[in-house]
Amino acid sequence: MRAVPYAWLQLSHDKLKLVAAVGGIMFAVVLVFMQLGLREALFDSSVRLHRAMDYDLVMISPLTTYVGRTKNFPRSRLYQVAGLQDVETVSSLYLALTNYYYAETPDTHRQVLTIGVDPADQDVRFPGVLEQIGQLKKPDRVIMDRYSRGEFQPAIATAADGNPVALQLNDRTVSLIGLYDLGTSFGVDGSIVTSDLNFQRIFPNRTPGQIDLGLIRLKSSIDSETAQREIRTFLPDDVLVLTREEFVRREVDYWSGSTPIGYVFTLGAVIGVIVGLIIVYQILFADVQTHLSEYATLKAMGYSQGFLRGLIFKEAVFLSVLGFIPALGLAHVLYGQAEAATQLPLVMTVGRAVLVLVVTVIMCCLSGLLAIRKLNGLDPAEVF
Amino acid sequence: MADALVQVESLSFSHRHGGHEQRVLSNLTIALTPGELVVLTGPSGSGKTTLITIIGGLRTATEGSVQVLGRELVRAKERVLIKLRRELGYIFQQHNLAPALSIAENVQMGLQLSNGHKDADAAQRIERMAERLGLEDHLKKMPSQLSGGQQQRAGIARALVNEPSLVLADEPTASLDRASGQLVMDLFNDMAEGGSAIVLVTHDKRILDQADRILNLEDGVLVPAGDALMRDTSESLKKLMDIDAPRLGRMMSVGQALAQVALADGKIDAQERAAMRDAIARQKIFSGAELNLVVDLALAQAQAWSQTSASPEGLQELQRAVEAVALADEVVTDEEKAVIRRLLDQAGQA
Repeated sequence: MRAVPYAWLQLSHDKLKLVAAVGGIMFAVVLVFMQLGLREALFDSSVRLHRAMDYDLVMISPLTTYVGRTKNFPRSRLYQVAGLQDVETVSSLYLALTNYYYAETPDTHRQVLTIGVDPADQDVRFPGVLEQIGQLKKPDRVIMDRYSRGEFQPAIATAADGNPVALQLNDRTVSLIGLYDLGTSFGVDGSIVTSDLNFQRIFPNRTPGQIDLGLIRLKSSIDSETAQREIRTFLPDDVLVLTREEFVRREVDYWSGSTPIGYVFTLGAVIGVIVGLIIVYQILFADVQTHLSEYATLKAMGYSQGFLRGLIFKEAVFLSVLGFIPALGLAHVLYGQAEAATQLPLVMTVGRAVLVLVVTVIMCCLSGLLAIRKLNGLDPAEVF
Repeated sequence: MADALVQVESLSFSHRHGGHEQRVLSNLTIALTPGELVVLTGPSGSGKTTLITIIGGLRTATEGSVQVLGRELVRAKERVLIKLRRELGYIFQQHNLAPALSIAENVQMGLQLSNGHKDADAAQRIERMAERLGLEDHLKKMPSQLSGGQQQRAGIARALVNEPSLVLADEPTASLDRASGQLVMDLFNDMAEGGSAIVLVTHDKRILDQADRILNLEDGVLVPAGDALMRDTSESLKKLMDIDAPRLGRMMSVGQALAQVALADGKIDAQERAAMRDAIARQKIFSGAELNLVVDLALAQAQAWSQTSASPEGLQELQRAVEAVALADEVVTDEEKAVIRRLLDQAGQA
């Protein structure tokens, strides 16, 4: 005969209670999934631009906080680097948030990130940009991110249908002639790419010699960290030269460390775990309380304290798995809905699913550990 | 005693309540041998339950020595106590069956203690035990589907399925009807015949006559069981007198008459006992418990007379006693003298 599956039978005996318990844990796990998902989406979306461009090193001002709030620096610094033997090409980028207005949606007043590039450069490689970059040489021509937020979608839809779209950027009328694929972030609702000359037209007060990003491509055999060290030896402190990873990390660090957003989502995940912890503790504590005399009987029969602890832990693990499975499915659905609504990259990764499963099991076992304290003083003689 | 399953020597046990020590058991010495069915009686709070919890390794004695199945339990480590508990059969007054487990699974929990569930005949053992206790049709049911008595029997099956060599039972028949109680007692008797020692804590007088030995605890000390029985009987008679004095008087006079007639030839045999019962039953004067009481009174009286007459000293004691009663009002009348003479004649002839 197989051993009596005591923990499972005890847990599943009261179906209604089990459903309520699983529901509670599922809620907590979904909360954790959503918080972690949104947190990761924040970080992933904030570096979309960083990852979509072709470069080995990047030059920025030390005062730049994030891609939507850059501080410009002299283009001459980039040219200083261009002359180095290890450098293949350099490209200048102008970035600035621009007031956006579309006459068809007059109530929509938003800011859009405008990126000015030299049409001769090939380093801005968002899907769709390279094919259209030649057309941007013409005055007041812009292309727009297809995945910009909903407020920009009327203009995007019109452009996608091949119809002419006139936009006002900083009170200058421009023609939206095409679309590219990038995506939004928490800091940027939408983006526009145009030529460096058109950028100057939209921002007449900007000095062409002051750029926001300098992209440096090295010759294929050159190690980026070695080149970075060499460049740093002769450049003054008014610019920073970063590798791709450092550039990405700097942006992520800004959002996670310098804004409340990263903290809020981390706190949300922690609260989710605490909620789950309390729910499971309540369930297991009530279980121990209800069955105290049976447990004392088992102890009097010769079952050890370890057996009883194992029983509660098994119940905790069962609860965690039972709560996790539907939560995973529900979180997957909610990710899809949130992604559609926000254009943020909310994707269920295997790593996150495993992480949350582990957190859920630990959470339930911790609750079990707390509930077990009630068993410690259990006197088997009490059953007589 | 070399082959004793339980050897208790000078056992004492005290409870501590906020610095105040309350002695529960004092200087007990008990030995239980294989095959014994011992009934532990005594009023509530006398220490019966405490004693079996100490023998069962659930409490530790404060003084003395307690050896059970070859292990010394005083100051024993927890793992020794756990090992011992697995070898015992505990029957609790509150059966505490797991409500989430079927009756078969509850019984299996007893078997699992010794890994007995892995044996090829594990299922048959559970079925056999259930059958012995009249539960064969209830194995798949949940405890909530059973009556209190059936649940109690399931608890007993759980305790005995391992065929333990020592059974400690706290009021095992308290919630059982007469037939079910006898099923349980039959099982205990069979186990005792097989060499197990059975200790029953009980107030159930129906099973006293099945005990090999009666241990009577009062205020934590062992006192002769006869003393307790006499006191209980006396109290019962007083209560009966309060409730229905005429009926009790009628029963006692009939009992006395029967005893006198039966003892007329100086002895009472089995035939006369049966005849007594039949005669009263036919008259339909008494029935059920009354009938039993009348016959028991008659037999007890006849037995008492026959034992008193067995020695001249006994007769002298009886004479002194009845004369003292007659002198209580400082005058012995002729009528009293006649009664005394008749009583002494009867006792002398018996």
